[in-house]
Amino acid sequence: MAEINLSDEEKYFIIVGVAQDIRADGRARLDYRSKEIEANVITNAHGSIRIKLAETDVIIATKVELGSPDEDKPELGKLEFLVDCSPLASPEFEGRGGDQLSETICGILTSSYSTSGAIDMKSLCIVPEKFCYVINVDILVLQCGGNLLDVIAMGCKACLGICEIPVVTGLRFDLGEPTPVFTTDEYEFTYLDVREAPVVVTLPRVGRYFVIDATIEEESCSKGKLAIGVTSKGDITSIDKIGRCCYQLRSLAASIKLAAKVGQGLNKVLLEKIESIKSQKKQLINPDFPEGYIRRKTYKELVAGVDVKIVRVADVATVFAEEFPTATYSKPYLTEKLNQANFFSSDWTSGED
Amino acid sequence: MFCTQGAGSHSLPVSWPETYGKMSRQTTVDNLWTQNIRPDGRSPTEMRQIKCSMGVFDKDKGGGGSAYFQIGNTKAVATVYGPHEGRASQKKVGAANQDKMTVNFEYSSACFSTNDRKTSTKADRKSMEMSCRLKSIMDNVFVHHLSEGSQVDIYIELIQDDGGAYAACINAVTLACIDAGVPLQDFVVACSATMAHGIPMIDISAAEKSTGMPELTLGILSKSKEIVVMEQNNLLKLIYFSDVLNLALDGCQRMLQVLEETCYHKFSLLQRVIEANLRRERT
Repeated sequence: MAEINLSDEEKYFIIVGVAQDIRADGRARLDYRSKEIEANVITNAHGSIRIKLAETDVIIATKVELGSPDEDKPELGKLEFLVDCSPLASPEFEGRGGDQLSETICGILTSSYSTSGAIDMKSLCIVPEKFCYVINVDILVLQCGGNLLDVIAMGCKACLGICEIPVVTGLRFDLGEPTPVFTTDEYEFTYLDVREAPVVVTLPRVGRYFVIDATIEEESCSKGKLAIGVTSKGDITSIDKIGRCCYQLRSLAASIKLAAKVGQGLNKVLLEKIESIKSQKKQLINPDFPEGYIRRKTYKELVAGVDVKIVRVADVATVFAEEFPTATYSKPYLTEKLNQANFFSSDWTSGED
Repeated sequence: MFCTQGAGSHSLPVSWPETYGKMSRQTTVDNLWTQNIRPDGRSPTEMRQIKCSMGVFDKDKGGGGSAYFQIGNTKAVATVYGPHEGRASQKKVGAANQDKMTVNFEYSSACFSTNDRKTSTKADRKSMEMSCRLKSIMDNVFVHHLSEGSQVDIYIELIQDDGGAYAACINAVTLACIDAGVPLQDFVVACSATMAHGIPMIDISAAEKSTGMPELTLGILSKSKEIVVMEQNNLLKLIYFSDVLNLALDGCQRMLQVLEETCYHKFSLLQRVIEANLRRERT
């Protein structure tokens, strides 16, 4: 962790201040600094956020890719985190200096998101055992001014919330294998449901008291901290102890209660922000659009059931015709062409078993 | 998707699908070439919109400087630490030439900078090469005798690459060095140029680059007009070379104007603050 060297007098000043509930910048122990969230800063990502909390400055971008699910979880999609601690933040991160911090943060994020309720991973599956969406969350740390973990977790939640996942309009059959066909319309996308996604509340212990949203000076006064993942209902998804301090059982319980309360408030603010970004985007697309445009045709509606084999040739041809509206191909012509090219394997088109 | 950002008076009146829905994309692009309009709506001599600022991060540690440079959708951030006392490991290397300033350069590009995602954060060959090239450029421009035996750390991060990234990086580093107060001989300004259908064009975008058009990146010292960077890839016919070079030179001049304006803005602001402080002290 990027730390700064403080003299004993400075440390004493901070610790005594915290004990009297007045911190060096005038806040009380449980006050949060104000944050700025800017959306869609990276144009070639599916969703991006720049989040700035005092001196801490992070850019987060999500990119959606097509991948295959893990063998032990054939019906779940994938969510992957990658943290890049750029040397812009601190010369310590030069070369491979930031690797340890990145891996710590990655681990905490993964563990807090791996609870079953956080994000509906089933909605990220396209064809069980074959294809799923892989959402890559890339985090770039531009500046590190304390409370990095909280900022990153908040940014991840916001970024996943505004991530535009392209809709699957149908299935193409290559050599009898179903392959998803993605929409070519850039405004046809769905959003993830992030209402239950966790935020992380870090509680460093300065002297005898826990503080929230510590500055980098306060962090270097504390021996260790607790990182607690909290959902909007106040449930705890993960607890990590970072550093080399020890806690009494009693203080631990109190701190977790505190984190749950703070986390609930953070979640509420974040969800409001996500909704406002989404509504701005909707207006940007076209104010006159009918309400249901974004969800015009989903995979489930098209396939009508879990079984992939129910797709009919006619449906696939409709999808193709929709994809190339300017082409001169009519629907029967296309179907004939596809049949001629042996596009569908015969056993699939004839029967539904 | 075509980006209309930064398009000026020559931009298309409406976005792509409404007007050209009935035509195939390729035909339309060909039609545009005959009217001297590039795929993103610019004219051949029109640059994308430039935004730059100095001192983007408030740094009170190590006397650093920073700068942000954006041209179209290409975005770069540079930070400079120093000049400070050389670190022990660097001193050993620099022992042979104690009369020089040691330059420590690291370039990295964000995972999400290009359309294909980078899967690891470790420095790959491409970024190491970029570090070397940028380092050698800046090494030539520093005034070494003013801070002998000291060290400068320059870090640059490419946040998004939409064409002309090399030129953008050079401009960002120049601004950051000025912000940090590292002695430079002169401004280093860079600009890219390209050529297609017999028309030389300034400031190549990623969409144009992907069609196989040549890219010439030119960097000059502003006063002496000496060329410090020249790099070209892809095929460019010799008869067109001087045209493209002249256009790139013109681009460098325009880029210099923008950088100078940024510096002027920054330092006039600084001067006002200093004057205000002096006035307050007197009263």
